[in-house]
Amino acid sequence: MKTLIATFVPALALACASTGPSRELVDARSAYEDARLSAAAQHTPDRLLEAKQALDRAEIAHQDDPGSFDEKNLAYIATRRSELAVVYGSFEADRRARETSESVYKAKQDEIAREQRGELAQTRAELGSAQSSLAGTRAELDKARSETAAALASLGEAAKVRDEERGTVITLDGSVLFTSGKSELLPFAQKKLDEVAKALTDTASDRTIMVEGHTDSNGNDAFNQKLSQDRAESVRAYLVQRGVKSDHISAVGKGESTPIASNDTAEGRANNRRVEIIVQKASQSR
Amino acid sequence: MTALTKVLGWAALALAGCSSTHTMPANYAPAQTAIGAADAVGARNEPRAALHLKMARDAVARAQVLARQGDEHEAQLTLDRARTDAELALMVTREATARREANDAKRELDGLRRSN
Repeated sequence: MKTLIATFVPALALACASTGPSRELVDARSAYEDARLSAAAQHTPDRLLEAKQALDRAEIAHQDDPGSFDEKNLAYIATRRSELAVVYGSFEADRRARETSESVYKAKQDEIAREQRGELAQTRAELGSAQSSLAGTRAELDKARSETAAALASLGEAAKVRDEERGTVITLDGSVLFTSGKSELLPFAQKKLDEVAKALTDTASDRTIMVEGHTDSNGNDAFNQKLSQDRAESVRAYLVQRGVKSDHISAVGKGESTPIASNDTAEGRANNRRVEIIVQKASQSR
Repeated sequence: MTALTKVLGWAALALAGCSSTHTMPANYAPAQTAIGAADAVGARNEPRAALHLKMARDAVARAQVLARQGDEHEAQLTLDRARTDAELALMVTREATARREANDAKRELDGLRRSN
């Protein structure tokens, strides 16, 4: 009997007083360390706390009854709780990564849409600008046309214009341009010649122009020749001064040689006193 | 005899200290619910989750044996193990899905960046 007691009691004591942790508890401690260093610490601290509490229960069971069923099972549960904490942490990290990607995706899509809208708006603006520029060009063209028409119309008032074989002939009344016997242009003549110059530069800038001076038959031929030459030169000089190209325009005095009306009447002589500006046809020009 | 009584008394105390003091019947519901949830999300198709799901089911079966033997405390602790394994199976499955979704979203974003 004593032998029985002697073997039974130490065996019992050994079973209850084993101090080393079970393999399960060692695993549980290790698993908790892993969890503590995982994303769970940042993302799911509540799950990490559950794991810690589970480990604490296993540790208490170990202290109360080392190597017991409770210690081993609570340690097993603690290991799983730590693993769960890690998985919850990863789950949360995945969720956040997905949300970030999705929100960046949406922002990027919006940005692309904005860029496309911007490009469209720019294209529209460029089109609008091109259209208005076209409209502007048209307006300028119309303006130029109407100015030319106006110039020709005003020229009509200042002078007689007719087309002849030798070109467009602009005939200016000599009495409007000069004082009798003189070759200096009158102020009024200058105004008229301004209009002629404008018409010439607007419409015939590349044509060859001839200025011819003519007199009536009063006075001697030499004087008339000289006077007609001087007058033609005056007109030419003035037109050059007003923008007509000097190498396109020449002057000649015709004296009384080419009357256009009878020198017998005052009216006829007045018509013969004239300056003709002949704008040669395009084909005749250089 | 006195000595024997003493020793047996000690032994009884020691046994009481080592073994269960609970006599409440084991509660299967939480473990069964967790197993059902893991099953529902497709844990059997996720290798790691499938392993924990099997462990959970095995633990429930062991708990039934323990309960039949009258070891209610052990049965309950085994059911707690089963529930934890089932929860892990559930979360491992959900995490795998979440990871795939995160990867998909990342791939789509990269695709959008590449094409623009």
